[in-house]
Amino acid sequence: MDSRFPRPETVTLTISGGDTLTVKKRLTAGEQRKSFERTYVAGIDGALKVNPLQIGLATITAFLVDWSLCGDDGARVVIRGEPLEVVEAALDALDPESFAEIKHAIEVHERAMLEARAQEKKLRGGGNGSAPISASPSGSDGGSTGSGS
Amino acid sequence: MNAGFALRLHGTAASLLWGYRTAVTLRAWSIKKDEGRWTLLATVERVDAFQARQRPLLFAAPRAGGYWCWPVESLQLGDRRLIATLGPPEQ
Repeated sequence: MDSRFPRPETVTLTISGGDTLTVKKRLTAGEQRKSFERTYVAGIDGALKVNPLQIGLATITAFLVDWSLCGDDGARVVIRGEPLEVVEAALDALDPESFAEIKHAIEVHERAMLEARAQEKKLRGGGNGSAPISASPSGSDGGSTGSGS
Repeated sequence: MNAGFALRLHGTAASLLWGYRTAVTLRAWSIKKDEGRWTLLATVERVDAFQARQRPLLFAAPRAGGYWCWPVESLQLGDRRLIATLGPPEQ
């Protein structure tokens, strides 16, 4: 069972042309929050609003660690360890089809990871007779503490 | 980064990494090799209090086209200064 503290593990996604993307297996809460932050813009009244156009870019930059993409000169376009601005600039310099392909690959990976986590939570929460939180060891009617159902 | 005859390396930017995550951001740093041991001295710019406690850590210093990397074997982390013993360079 995975820890609640995601280790910095990566997986490799293959896209067209044999190119590869190295992406984070799971995001931490901090990485997810920073990703969300990048989708917000301040309106005239100062209120924060989501900019839908930024969602894809924020998701990509949250997950993407490295890639095998090369420039016109055949040299790899380095993004590993580079500041966010450099990674975003490289992504913005892609042709729209390549950007969309990378976005799709990462979104599929994100969904797969979320589904895997949901399955894991189900297994963690039942089947072995010890729920993570329980009111009483003898409680057989599903009673529990706290709010909610 | 410059390498001297006395196997001393130094630079102005580097990181201690836990996997792909930056645990400690360093400014001025120097490494010396003495009796087969690599010792790192560096100025600390930023510390991630959680990542810095994880192991294994890797010292990574940028170079043209990539990074120099050493595994961190032991670490003394102060507010502004860092001293670490490094294993043999990995790349």
